[in-house]
Amino acid sequence: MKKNQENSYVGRRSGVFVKRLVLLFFTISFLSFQGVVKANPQSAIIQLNLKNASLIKILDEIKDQTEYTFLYNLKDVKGVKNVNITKKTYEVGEVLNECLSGTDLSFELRDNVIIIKPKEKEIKVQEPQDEILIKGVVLDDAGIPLPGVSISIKGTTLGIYTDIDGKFELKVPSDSKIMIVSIIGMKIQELAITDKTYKIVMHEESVSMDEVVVTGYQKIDRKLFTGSAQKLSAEDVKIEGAPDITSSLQGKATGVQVSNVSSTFGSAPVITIRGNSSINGNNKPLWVIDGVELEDLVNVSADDLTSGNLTTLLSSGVAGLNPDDIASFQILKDVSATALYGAKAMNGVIVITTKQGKEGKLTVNYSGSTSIKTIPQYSDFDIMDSGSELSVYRQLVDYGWVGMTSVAQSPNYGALGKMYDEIIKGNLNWGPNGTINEDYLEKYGRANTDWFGELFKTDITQQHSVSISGGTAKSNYYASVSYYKDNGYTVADKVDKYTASLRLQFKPTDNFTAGIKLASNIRDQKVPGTQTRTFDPTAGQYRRDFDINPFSYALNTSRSMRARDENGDLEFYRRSYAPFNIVHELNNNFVNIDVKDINFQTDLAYKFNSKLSVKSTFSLRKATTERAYMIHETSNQAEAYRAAGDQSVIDANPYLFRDPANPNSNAYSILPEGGFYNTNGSDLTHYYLRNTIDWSPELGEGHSANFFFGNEVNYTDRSYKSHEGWGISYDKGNVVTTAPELQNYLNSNGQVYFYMGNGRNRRASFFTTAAYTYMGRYVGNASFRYDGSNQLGESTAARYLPSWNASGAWNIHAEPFMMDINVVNHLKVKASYGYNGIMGPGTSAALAMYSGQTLRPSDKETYIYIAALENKNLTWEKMYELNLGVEFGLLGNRVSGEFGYYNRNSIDLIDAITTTGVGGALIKRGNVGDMRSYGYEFAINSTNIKTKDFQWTTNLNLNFHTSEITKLENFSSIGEAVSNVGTALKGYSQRSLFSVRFAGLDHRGIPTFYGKDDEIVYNINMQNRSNITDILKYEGPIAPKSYGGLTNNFKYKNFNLSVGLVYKWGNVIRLDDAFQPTYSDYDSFSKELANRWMVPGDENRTNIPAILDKRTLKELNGQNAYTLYNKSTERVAKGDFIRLKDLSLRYQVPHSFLKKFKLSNASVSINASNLWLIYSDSKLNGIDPEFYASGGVSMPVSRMYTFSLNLGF
Amino acid sequence: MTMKNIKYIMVLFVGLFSLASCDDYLSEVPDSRIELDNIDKVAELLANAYPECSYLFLETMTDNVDAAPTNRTTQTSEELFCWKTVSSISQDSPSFYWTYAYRGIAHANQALVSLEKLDGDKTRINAIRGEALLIRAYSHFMLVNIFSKHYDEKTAGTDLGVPYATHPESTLNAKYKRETVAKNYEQIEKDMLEGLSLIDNKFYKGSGKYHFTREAALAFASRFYLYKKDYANCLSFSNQLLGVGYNSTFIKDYQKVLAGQGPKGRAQVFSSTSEASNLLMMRKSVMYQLKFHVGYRLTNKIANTLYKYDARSRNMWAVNTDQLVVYQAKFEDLLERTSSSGSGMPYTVQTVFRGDEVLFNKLEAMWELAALESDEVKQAEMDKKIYALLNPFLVERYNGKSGSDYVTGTIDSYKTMYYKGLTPKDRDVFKRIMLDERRREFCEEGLRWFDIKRLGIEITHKNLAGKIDVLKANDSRKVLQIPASAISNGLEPNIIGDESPVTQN
Repeated sequence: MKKNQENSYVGRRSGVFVKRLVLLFFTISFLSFQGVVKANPQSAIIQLNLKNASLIKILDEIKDQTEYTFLYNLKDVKGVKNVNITKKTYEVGEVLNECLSGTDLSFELRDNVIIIKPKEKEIKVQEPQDEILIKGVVLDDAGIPLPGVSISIKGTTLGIYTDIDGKFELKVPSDSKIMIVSIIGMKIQELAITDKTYKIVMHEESVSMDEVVVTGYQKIDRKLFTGSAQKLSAEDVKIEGAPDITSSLQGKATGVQVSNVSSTFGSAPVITIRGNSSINGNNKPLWVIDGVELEDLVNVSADDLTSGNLTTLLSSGVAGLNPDDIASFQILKDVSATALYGAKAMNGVIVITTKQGKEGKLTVNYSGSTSIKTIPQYSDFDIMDSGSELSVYRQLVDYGWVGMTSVAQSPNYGALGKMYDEIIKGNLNWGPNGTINEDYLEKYGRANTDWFGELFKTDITQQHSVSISGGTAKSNYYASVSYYKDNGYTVADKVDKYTASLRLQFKPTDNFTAGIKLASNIRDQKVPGTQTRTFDPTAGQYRRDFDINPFSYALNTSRSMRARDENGDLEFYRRSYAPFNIVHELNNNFVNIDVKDINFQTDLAYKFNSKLSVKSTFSLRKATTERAYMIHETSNQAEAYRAAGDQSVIDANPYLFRDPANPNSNAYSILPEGGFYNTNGSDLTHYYLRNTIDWSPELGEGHSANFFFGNEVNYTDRSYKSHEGWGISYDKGNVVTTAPELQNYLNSNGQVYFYMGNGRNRRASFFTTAAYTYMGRYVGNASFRYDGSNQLGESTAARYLPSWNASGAWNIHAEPFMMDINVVNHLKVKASYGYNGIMGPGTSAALAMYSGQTLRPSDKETYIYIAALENKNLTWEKMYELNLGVEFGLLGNRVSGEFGYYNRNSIDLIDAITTTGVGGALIKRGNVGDMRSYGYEFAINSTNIKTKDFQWTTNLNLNFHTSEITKLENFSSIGEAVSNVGTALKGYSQRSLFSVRFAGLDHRGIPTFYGKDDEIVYNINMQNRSNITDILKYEGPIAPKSYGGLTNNFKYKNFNLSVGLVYKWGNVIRLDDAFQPTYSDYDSFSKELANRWMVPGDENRTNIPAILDKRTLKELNGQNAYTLYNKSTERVAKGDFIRLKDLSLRYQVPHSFLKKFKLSNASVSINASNLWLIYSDSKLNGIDPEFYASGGVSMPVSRMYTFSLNLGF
Repeated sequence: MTMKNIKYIMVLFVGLFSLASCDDYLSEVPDSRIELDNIDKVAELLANAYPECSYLFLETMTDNVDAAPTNRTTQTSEELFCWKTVSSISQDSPSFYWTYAYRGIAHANQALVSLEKLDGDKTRINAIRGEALLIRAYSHFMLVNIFSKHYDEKTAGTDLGVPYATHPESTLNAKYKRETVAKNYEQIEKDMLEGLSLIDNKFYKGSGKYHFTREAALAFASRFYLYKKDYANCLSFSNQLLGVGYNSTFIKDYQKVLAGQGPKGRAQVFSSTSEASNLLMMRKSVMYQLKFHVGYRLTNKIANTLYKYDARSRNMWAVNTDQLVVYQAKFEDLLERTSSSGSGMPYTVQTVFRGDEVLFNKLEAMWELAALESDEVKQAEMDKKIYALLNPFLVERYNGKSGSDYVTGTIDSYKTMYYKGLTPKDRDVFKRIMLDERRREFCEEGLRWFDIKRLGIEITHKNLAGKIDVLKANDSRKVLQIPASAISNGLEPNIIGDESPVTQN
């Protein structure tokens, strides 16, 4: 076996510090307990306080203090006892040299594994006459070669260890019968010697629980941890091909609800941990990467994540990470686990640890994947074909909704409008007797345009990542680069993302460690042009101008319109009075997103001795994002600004300029040439500094304690800017033509052509925690933290928040009386109670004033307005939380799991109240709400079958969550309560959906409803805020009552099949608005519309409202019956679903094969994600229950197939 | 590690961030908010203290409107027309007026408080203070006249007024109580007079028409004392603006209005800051000027009974081809866009004080003062003065190109024109003419409601459904209910009696 170069320092050092081992056979070994806090994994400096210990004790101690694992044959080392060592602090190599000198053992360091083995001496074996050479390779379950495995021949002294490639060769007497294969941590195997070559697969002794809980600040031994936390290794979570690893957390962690509301790159899933603790607050968990809080590029509230606005693409904090750099996730759920983060962590914490270098030789890893997304199909949705659409058009014509004049004045039209337009232009004749020209329309009736096919592509994405790592005891390194390319799911989007990261660690002296981390990423993304949506409170609807979201377009646009005519040329219709073709528009109206993000971090640690150490972390991050709206001169959005056909269009087109100085002149365009170049930028600067002191005093046998103190400073500056560029002609070399009246136009509309703003967030905190344990059985923990923030304004009274918690745990399995109960390997009960708070949303304790420009025709001046009156009693949103848990491990930990209960009482929640108005604001926001939420969590991991070649493991997690608002001044309007995001009302859950109570169709096919006193009404004021629960029906919560996941893993030899299911249950969904009194030939229709009310009497057979003629609509007299219908009990679906989220098959290339290519590891896998929505409410008609069809840049999560390859050199 | 070392480290760590430096660090303002650290900024705060709400909705409650069968109705217009409590809190509702008037008052109060802490040019500080006091007085004045009984010397001491806000609010839901009408008038008068003595036009930029100029303040005082029935003061303040004799400077020149192009052009002239007759203009977030097709409006029928051969009738525009609904082009309909598309918040610029009103205030005060005169000779002399002031105005309005037959320059002509059957003493005809002209002049400007209230005018409405309802002289429905949110937060509601009997047509 060759000597590894990397640990040659041992040799050099040993020359200086050679000490003799004194073997004292009669003294009792003693070892002080030091297990509360584990040292930095990279620290190879250890403190030993041992007298006359056995070698095994010493090795155990080294293992406790470092991340080294030992491999040795017990019989080799158990004889070495009463080792006396001379110093208190050692490097690992040093102490081993000292311990082993004088014995016939030597050691070898490979990666993080120390192999203790007999010194290689020339064993003079008597050469028997018949001797055979056996050789082979030893692998672990995953097919990875195991070095240092002891191979011995039973009944002899013959033996050898496997080399770094897991191989061995041994000459044995031909009459040898049995060989013993052993290594610590694996089951010993006895194999009959029957052959000359062997492939031996070792199996782990048991499925062990996570050993260490990383809270981000501290690493705590799992058995001493009292909070509720769950660790997920990136390997287990990762769905190949997914660019953003967070979405794959769905169904993997107990109590963590992940809703993948959009699949567009950069958009964050909605993640809540144990439900929402606030009514209106930002319920997003805190993300921590390598100990530093991760700020989002742009602040997007949890509610806005579903908005489809462009900013949602900057909402994912981890989109900039290379998924392959992530080593693990630690999800901290209860107040005890999150205590050290104080305010901001009330909604839980997700700690990401990235990979770092390890001592050992240089290794290179490559991982790459290619994914294909499938195109949505019309057969999945309930949309009328173009033939049926034509029959609806005939009714619209009969009723006079579509005709010559209406087409001329209509902002949008499709095939039917085009026919009228051709007739107006004299290119086409009327049908017989002045009817519609059926011959002309026939081709449209047959069109059945597949908009999905026109706009979507079988998307191919690629992801490549290369990392290099290695190191010595003095320093180590990890560097990676990655590239992600998405060619676009639609014809209008694509993404390129590059990341590079570097982590270095140095250890110039025994006590001092310095770490440097440098991470950067660059993103270039293109998405369809989009505008921010606005809410219309009277209709209770959102609107978005010039929306060209391909999915929304395909779903909502008439299929009788054709993308191309008979000649294959693009065929234009009308939208916003201008020619429109979606393919043309997507090519000429798009947004380029540019993100540059650089992060620098240093970690300094100094260890005074085994009891006291200090640590300091500093991080600096700069990120700039720019969104450039490229709206070309031929785009519909630009053309709409100059659409001025006949007089009716001139009068109606809102984008034309009406000169106030000449009120009777015709409106005209202020964009006679060119398009737009609008930019939007946001910059982030984040500094973070934390200093901590870790002190573990000596308390005597069995007792141990740890104290942790620290302070933290957080400094965030954000700046925003936007600029509108009017009149750029991209095709003419970007020449800019500005209309002279532009400024006038902007002034008269109260618009500005540029804007800048900034936000400053300052926080300072102190924290301390104390932990005590006796014999590792009884654990007590308490922590206190004091946070200060500038967000509440100048008020010094409101800006501080103290938070605290106390917790305890009992490791029952460590009790002596449990020692004989072999069935139970792990049993722990734990409880915590604590108090925490978070900054409430959008409030200021101090008077907040901003300035603006008066908007009026003359006398422009600057004014200052009061945005918020002083609220000197304003305080943080707070929460008391009780957490109870039981952890167990049975049957050699083949079955392990955790049961948890939590109860949260949130108080002082921010919501709006109405006041007398006398103080100057009718509606104010303050601490007016209380809410209780509680839930149960259950997780179980079991190894169902385990044989030599086959293993089946199951991982199930369930969560049941309930919330009830216990105090609130019910402020919501009917419009808010019936909207798809629901509302907050006392006595109901955090967000509840209500419906207008449908009372059937009347004799004219108009929907009717029950009013306050169950009377039949056609109109309900959507802005009404009083007694709304008398008028509306409670449908259910917006958030699921229960959710979770089930993962089954099957392993057969080198194949691994994983099947992941996720489910949600108990929530309700408001269906999209689909019905109106009349329709246009531009919109697609639901198939249900075919079943609409047509003639009197139909009201007894259908609930689908009629298309109204003009007279009946007039009778309706502006009453909002159709708006109400869309928000009624008829238009609600259940949100329950079961989804086959992930199906993957991996093949681990056998080691023997790899050797030929000088590879250390290789695997290939194929994976299908979002393969099958096994169950969802049929009323959803194919729409994904997790998806909000909000247009803009949102895109449903699609089926995706991925092929991936991992190689290690 | 010794204890000394530990101490040293502790000191280092805590010293890095003592609480004192922590407070400094956390005092950083979170965004681009403004601090009122100089008097210019206080003046800018007042630019936003003028209430953005309009009382134009009051017009729907007057006899200037009627049912138009072709118009779509809405809940709010129905409630207003039938003198019921309005449930809406949006634009064109009493609640909206209440909210935004108090919002303006909050700005004025903040300005007054901030001003006390600042140094600067003394006359400038005084002028800003004067403006703030006038805004506070004006907004409360409008509130008390909408939400309380009209001032009546005998009952004002017990009639419920409105809360008079004098300090910036500092708690989430501060409690207030309603003062009496008498107390309100007392506070308004005090603020108004002090403000009037302090303001100085020279500090206003531009036309100054969007601020309380001295002229606007005098017009306010003129209205205040008229409503208070303090006719001597009304006359005195009116004269300070107009002078003793007829002064056409502050009278709207209708020929100029009519020279405007079309309804939009005429509205622009009517509400132009360069019009001397326009004394105070305010930007109002309101939809009334747009909603010709909605609810109860000025109908052609009413317009025909109001105006004959009148210059004002030539600024009358039909809404539909059926010409059932008409409007006068007094307001520009403007839009504050919320996106680059057509959606946005409609607003207009409303002239809240016009010189013409001061003339009518003055005439009414003179008439009332003359009425007190027992000596008939002296009274006749006073009436002559009234006539000498009224007639030039009438000539101005009626000396249009048509109808000159009816306008010969004598008051008798008007008598024949409108009041043929009347035979009481001339004085009463005088008053009728004065009040009717007042109605004609301010039709669709919202002021008619206050006249109906203060003069005890009885009016009848017949709604679209054909229900006829009479608003009696002392009808309790002339007091609008305070907003529901104010009542639920502890303010005493108005007691509004049962509606008078409804008869089906």
